Amino acid sequence: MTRIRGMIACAALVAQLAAVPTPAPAQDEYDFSELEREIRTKPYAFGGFFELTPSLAALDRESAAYRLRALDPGGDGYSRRYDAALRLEGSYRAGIAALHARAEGQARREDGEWERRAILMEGYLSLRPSPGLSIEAGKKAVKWGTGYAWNPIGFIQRPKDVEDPEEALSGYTVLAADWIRSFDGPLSTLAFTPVILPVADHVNEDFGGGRHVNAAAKLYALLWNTDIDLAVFVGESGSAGYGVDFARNLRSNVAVHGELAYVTEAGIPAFDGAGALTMETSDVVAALAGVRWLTESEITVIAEYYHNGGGIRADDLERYFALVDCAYDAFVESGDCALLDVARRVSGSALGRPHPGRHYLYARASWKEPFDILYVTPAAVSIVNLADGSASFMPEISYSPVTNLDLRVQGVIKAGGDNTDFGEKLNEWRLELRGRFFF
Amino acid sequence: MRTLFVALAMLLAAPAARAATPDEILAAVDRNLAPETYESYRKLVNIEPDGSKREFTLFTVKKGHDKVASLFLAPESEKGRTTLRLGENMWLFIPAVGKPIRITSLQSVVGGVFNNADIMRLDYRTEYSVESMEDLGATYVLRLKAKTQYVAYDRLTMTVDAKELVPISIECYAATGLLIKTLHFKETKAFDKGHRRPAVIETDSPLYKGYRSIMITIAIKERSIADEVFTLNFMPKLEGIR
Repeated sequence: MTRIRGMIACAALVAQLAAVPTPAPAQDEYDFSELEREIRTKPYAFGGFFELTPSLAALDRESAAYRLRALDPGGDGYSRRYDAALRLEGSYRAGIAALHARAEGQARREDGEWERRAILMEGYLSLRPSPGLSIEAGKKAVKWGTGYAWNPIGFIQRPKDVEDPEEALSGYTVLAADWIRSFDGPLSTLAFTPVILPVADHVNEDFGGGRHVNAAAKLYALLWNTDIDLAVFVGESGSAGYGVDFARNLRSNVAVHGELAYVTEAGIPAFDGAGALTMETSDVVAALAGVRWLTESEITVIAEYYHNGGGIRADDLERYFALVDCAYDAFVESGDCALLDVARRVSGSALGRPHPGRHYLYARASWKEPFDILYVTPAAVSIVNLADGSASFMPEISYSPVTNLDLRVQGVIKAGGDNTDFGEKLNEWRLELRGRFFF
Repeated sequence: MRTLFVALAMLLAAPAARAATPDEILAAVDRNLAPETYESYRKLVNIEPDGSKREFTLFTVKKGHDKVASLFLAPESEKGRTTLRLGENMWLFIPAVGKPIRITSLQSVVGGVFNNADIMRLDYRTEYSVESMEDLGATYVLRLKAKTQYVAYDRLTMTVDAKELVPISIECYAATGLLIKTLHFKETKAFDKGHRRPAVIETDSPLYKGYRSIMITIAIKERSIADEVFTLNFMPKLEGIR
């Protein structure tokens, strides 16, 4: 056997020797010198995209959301919106240090009104003295959890847009570190991520008023081919959160994931004995279970069940919509908008989230390049409130006709009766065209 | 004189390689395709039936038998996307999403005929065992079977150049026996320290009639890389080790 190995080594050596004088055949088909120019490293990087998104929506004049806005009933019942966005991203590296920034300018014209804003989504300095240690300071989006549409353990991240969960989110001002170690054996990776999150005027005000400091940490392990995270959030902002998540591939085309969070002193909107909507404070559990499955015909299915223990109960949600109806009737009959103002305040605080209920199902099926049509991906998304059976359906088609240009047509159609979560949303349907050019 | 020496050496080497076992030939094929631990730059080109092309540039690092990480350098719409493979586990990091998500080996992050397993390929002997081998003189035909259900293709038929011990073509089959794609290895050229390796892999598939995908290795060299580079937490930072 040793002799055979020696012979193979000899063959490899001969192959190397043969390489020296022999020119590679037919290389003019591939211009390697041009390719080598492309891969030269630079200390800086810059890019971004420009986006235009016109949309048309049919308003549901009987919905609670419409009535809360007390919109002019004399309109044609449609909302026309034109959004434009310019996103700029850049970084600069020098030794172990790097600066990163992501900013966006947005302009919106809706019903004849212009609205403009510019935001720094992220801007931070990172230091990486070794591959196993890094420190970051500044405004940074810290995203935790294995869920696609929701993240119960995302204690220090802004809520995702469930209709577009892959969109970038703005960060919070943090001081964070990453300590990573790799091992041989069942425990392949261990990573510890501590985060300090200060709160002051104009700094992280989502976490309450005054000046104080919160702390969060995540311990990640890749154990027996399973991602496992333990996360904690504590501080003077009130609620504390403790969570765990996991993700694992079951087969070459199936992966499962889940999250479990326990949040103390969470505010839950509920009607009291006197019929007033108040915020109850209680410890709650939130959980998510999901699967990602690729079928033989290249359809990717993502399905998630989300239990939000801090959400409003279905019967209380129904009572809230009845309250809005009463308030609107009072406004129409007498012009008195006091009750409507109360309903608006509740909507803005307790029910301000797009999915305020307790039990949701998210399902997305996307078919990559059907019928051999490259760069086309039709998809269908559905979000269902399991407590009242109402739902939102979102068919879409994405197409990239040329490099760096993405086009997407997306529709949103709601289904649900009176006093249901989705049934009381503002739009009966919405049609949106998005063109995004990367540079 | 040198040419004569090379010809003589190759004549001597050919029967030597032929005496090797199927497993040793597969091991030699793996090493002749790439070092065990390396960094590389590759270009993926998807060619449509009308001749139009879509190109992607990738920086890839691999360590040992089961760790691979890739970073998209171009086009702009994909820039910063990072894929990580640790054995049967795969993740995709999209800068806008901001966290790695688990993906499956059969999915394709770039479209076209190449899937994730092709882009983040491990050594063949890591994922496959040799079931049988035919010696056809100028070539060997190795029939390989996946070691686990996590592997993208259930069976491979690998035709190996008996002289250079590099693959000429690999047919990839699903468990049902369906031919998913065929990889054609071309343009053997000298890379790091003069090692001759196929620089071009062309792919066609009966599932994508008329479409072709090409993977061109621009540069490849051995490199010492820390284990911590192959972790989820490092995925957003992969650009920093170029």
